[in-house]
Amino acid sequence: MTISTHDLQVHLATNHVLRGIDFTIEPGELVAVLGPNGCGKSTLLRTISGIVQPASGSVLLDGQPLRGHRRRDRAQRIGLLGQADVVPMMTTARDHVGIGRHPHRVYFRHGSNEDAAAIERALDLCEIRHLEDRPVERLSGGERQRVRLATLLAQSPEIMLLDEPFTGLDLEHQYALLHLLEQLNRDEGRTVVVVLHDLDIAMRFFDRLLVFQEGRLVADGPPDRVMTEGLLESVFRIHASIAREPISNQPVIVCDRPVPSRDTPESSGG
Amino acid sequence: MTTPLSITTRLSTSPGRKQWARVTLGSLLVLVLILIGLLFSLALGAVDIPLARIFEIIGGEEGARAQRQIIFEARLPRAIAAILVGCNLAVSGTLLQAVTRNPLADPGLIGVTAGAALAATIVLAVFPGSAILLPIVAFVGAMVAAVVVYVVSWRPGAGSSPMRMILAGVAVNAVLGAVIGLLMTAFADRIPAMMFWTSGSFNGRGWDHVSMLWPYTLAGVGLALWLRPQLAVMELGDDSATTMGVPVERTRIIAFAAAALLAGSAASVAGLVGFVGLVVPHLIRLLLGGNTFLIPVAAVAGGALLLWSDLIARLALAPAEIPVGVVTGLIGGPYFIYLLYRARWLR
Repeated sequence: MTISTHDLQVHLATNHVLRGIDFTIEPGELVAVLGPNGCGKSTLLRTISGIVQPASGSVLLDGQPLRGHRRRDRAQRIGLLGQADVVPMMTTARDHVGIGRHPHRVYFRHGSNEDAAAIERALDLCEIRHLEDRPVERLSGGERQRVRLATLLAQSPEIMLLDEPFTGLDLEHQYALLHLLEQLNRDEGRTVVVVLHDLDIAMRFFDRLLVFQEGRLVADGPPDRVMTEGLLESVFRIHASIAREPISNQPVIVCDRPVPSRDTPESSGG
Repeated sequence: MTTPLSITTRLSTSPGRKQWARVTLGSLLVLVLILIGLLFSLALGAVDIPLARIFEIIGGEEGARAQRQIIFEARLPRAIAAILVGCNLAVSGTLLQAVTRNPLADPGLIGVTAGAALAATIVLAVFPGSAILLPIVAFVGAMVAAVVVYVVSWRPGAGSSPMRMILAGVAVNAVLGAVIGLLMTAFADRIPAMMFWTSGSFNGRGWDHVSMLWPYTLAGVGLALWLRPQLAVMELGDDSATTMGVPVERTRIIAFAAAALLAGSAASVAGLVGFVGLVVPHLIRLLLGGNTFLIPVAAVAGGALLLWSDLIARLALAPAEIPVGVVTGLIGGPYFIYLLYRARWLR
């Protein structure tokens, strides 16, 4: 399933958050969305998933406008793990994960075998089986994040959008999540689009980087072509060099110092 | 999360078996409570009627006309009215807590209670001769207040939001409360009638009230059951709900309207009965261990609570009758505090 944007413009209140965004993500791509705070990354994911309406331009799903797809069909194809952590009242981790099956359920049917299988699998993949009977409100931030991720996995969308999914996760679970996303992408052909701030991880694990600055898409391509010292200076405001880690030969950003401050950009959201 | 994707799914582990057991036991408990409460309501009062005699009369035995009249014309409709009002308030509270994602939400929050109270106060204070119109006027007052709260909480382009809804409810309640206070000051000699109504009562409620109430109960509970899957998703937040295919604004409007209809019709029949809409949903979550079957069980539990409360209101200081809202607060409150103390759910 291809997702593309054409001259996408998004306003939030009086802010012009996204300006003239054009790109196409083919099925099975593993994409990182990068940029400084407030550059429009989160707004981009919220627009692609149908939460925010564009002021102009379009989001197309397999060449058809997003709004032209039925809500339920859209929800079966695109899933979002957003930043907002809304904790439902007195809901067990299992029930939370089960909510992810909503787009696949039929009225007055409690759940099919397929639903049950998806929930069991999500519980196992996110290693939260031992938490399944515990109320979500009593879990730690990292555990809760894994429950939310399992809910997205239970939804089982072809396109998975994740907005800063590593928030609250310890190092072990951050890398476990990265490997899981890689596996879902490689073995099941799922499209994975992740907003993140760790540029080293973005370069190592993702096939394609989309870099945003002040609501504009300023770079788009594979990591070795996109990530340059010039980009680090102009977009991320740091003087840095890109080296190779001697054992794995993986690229590493060696930061030196920040670029002297300048006026705050007018756009916000992100 | 290092588990490989080829992991075998464990379908053999039936999901939530423990929770199903709790749901079954909890549902049975509230059903038993309501049945026993109904029998006691028919049996006890100014004239006690033995249970065996009640079964004979229900079975169609002729004779004992006075007892038949007591059961079928006074106690049964009153008990059914109490059950329906309790059911309405509990489901209304459940809907509002889900829509606003606020555990403190109840019919009082969306202005319904204050709207009904103001309308009733106007009738009792200014037009005491038109007290027969009280149910209808109270219902209209409740609906008008609910609409005002929703309109105030709505913003073009952004729709409504749980936070704005709560704040609008607080503001409208404050204004209506002030007007009620003004009326009570101006018509101080009629305060007793107003106070009795604002504390809730089933005294004198009959089949007319039941006829007025049941269509709203049926429609409101039906809507609540229909909305339950969407409301469960909305508890994860508006963004999550949207990406899972839920029409958030439409669901919120329908749930809000259903809650207002349920609470408004309840207030028009029984006056203002606090506590039920706020606490019954929590009691049932604690009893069931989650949200599965919350709405139907809360509906029956609300009915049971108000049925028993009315029984106590009738008998505690007989022959005098105390307002049923006083009973729900005095008995339900401490029990709820005890459950909160015991609950592992809440921090």
